[in-house]
Amino acid sequence: MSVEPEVPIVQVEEVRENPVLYKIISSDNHVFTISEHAVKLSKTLWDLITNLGLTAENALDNPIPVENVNGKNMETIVQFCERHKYDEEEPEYTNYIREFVLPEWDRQLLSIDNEELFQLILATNYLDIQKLMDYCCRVIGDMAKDKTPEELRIIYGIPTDAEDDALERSASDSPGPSG
Amino acid sequence: MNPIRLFNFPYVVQREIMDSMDLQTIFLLSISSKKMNNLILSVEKARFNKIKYILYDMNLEASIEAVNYNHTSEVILTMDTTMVLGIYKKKKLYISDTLIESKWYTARRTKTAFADEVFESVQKHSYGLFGDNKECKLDINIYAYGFRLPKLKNVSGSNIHIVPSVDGKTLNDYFSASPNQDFINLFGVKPGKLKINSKLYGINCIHTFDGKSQIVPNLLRKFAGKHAFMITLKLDHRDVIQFLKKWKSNELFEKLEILQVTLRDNSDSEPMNPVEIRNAIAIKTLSESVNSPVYNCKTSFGIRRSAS
Repeated sequence: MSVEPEVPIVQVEEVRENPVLYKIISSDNHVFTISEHAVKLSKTLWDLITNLGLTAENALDNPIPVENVNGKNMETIVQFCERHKYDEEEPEYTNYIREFVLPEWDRQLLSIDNEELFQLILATNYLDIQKLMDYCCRVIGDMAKDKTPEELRIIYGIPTDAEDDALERSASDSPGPSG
Repeated sequence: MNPIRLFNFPYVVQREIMDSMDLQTIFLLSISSKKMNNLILSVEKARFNKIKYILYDMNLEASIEAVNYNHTSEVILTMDTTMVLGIYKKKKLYISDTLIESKWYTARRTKTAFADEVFESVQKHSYGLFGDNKECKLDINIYAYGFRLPKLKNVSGSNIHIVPSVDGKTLNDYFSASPNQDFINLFGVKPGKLKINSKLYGINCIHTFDGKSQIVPNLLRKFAGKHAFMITLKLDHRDVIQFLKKWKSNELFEKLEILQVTLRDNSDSEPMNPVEIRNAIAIKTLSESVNSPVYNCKTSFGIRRSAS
């Protein structure tokens, strides 16, 4: 005789198909809809949602303004979170370096201009999305593979010692606010 | 494409980025500027504190690795030694003002080798990252003429196997930089120019294979460490008698606990006569009721690591 499970699997599927949705407004007034599972990847947003007491009933009527992130970055972030919302939690890493393979989908998503990547990382840092931060940092770290210090200086915009010294001298020579 | 400026990121992001880099990248990045070196030092301090010792390894390829307390290891720098490989083939790399280019090899056909300079310059630069008191080990297993051992500081143990041989002057220079080594495994020494007061004789534990029977007689006269394990082809019983007399009388070898000489079969050498030795120094057989002392000693180089 087979025993029926207490919680049928179909219920889980229903949750996936009818998720609780939240609205987010970017700094340039673009509106995004994001599911509950996806928004949980952002510690900042989820803390905000719980602190505001948003529920399944009132979530869509109370859009969350995010002043520090523009629409372009928010679009990437929403895509990323929706893509990874059912991922298993990563085990805590205990040793350097973090070992993971950057999936091709994410590599494509993050194949953007350096300036855009810079802004995306600042947004990711503000919204506290660890997985996206790991992936972005991996993209930046991979830029350094098989490069000499000279090339690294160009890639990461690192001034030479002479340039740093000159900058320091000019800063100390220039009159201060009272001068 | 515009650069992505690492210095413009918030501190926590800088740390995330550097945590995602392997140690070789971090090391090369630290060379790019003093300011970057300082940033790495502040961001990755915890990572560097996990390093137990730095292993300078010269076998088929030359590599420098950081071995952590949990026995995992990370490569700091690695290159092919017989040809200038890959990225550095047409590029210049300076470490501590030393140009690492075509010098990075142990010439098999020529008579000069420059890996010592690379090891020394890496150590010099690494002081600014890992501190100047990090323990080091040297593992060299090569065929090379005129190979100069790197003058590394803070070396605790060495495995030196150079074919056809390593000369006394090279060892003098090597030990002058790291005089307080704990362990050495030495192969193929030509002790001609080895100083009478060479620090080699003061090493705590020495293992040596003396194929030409040149270093063992010296060790039987001057060894000042605790443990010596020697394999040789020839041994003069007069050297053994002299050694045993001085040991028994406490005239020398005060710290010595264990000394083992293994004679390899060699039809050319005179057979040892144990009776003559026994008679010369009046060996007594211990009573079975007397417990022999137990000494602990190192029998290997002690490198235990796995890739992290």
